[in-house]
Amino acid sequence: MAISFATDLANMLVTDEFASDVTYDGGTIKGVFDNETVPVDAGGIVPVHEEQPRLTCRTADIPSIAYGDAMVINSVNYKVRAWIHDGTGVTVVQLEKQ
Amino acid sequence: MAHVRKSIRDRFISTLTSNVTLVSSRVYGTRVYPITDASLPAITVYTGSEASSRYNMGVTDITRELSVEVDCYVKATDTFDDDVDAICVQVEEAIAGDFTINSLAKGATLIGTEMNFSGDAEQPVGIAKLTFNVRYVTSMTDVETAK
Repeated sequence: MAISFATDLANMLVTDEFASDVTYDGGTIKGVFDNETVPVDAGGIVPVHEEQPRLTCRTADIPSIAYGDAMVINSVNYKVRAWIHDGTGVTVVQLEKQ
Repeated sequence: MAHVRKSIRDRFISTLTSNVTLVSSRVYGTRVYPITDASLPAITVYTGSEASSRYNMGVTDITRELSVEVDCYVKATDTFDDDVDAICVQVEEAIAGDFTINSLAKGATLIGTEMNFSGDAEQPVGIAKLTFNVRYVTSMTDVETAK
């Protein structure tokens, strides 16, 4: 019997666990939002500590993702700047806070 | 009294604190710890390498070529490159207006600018690294007094 990975992902990305609602492309998708503080080394004598917003979601939920797309997560506006598909149906989206 | 190098560094810090209004007095001397998000825009000042040689035969003076590094940090969405250049304007003009570093040096000259950017975090960070060559002279036996 085939295992539906997409269904497994949908079951994992529930908001009463770790997922958040994300306003995107006129609708709502779900994903795990991380925003850890990281040291950014941009060439100065010391690094800058800055938050690094990332959204992990189903690739199927963002079939037409594009640079500059808007997302709203926890009432904060973000723009999509980059994304990495892992090839198994999961995508990590790099966000820029507006 | 202190080494003239320290006096030069302190003078850079006070001059930039007073004149670079775009960083709102966030000028840090020889900072070794990370800059937090809330502390941007900011400037760090530190003294790097220094070459020295005898001024001339028969005297005990040393001429020194000190590198003073001024790093300008900004964080912004669309204007990070323009913002860092705007800070460079204020830094360069402030140091040019104090060319002899309050008479501690023979002169301070900008000899290099390096721009770096990062988009790894929530907003782009831009950094301009300005290197000033500061030429000053001391006696071998008194390095706390500029000549």
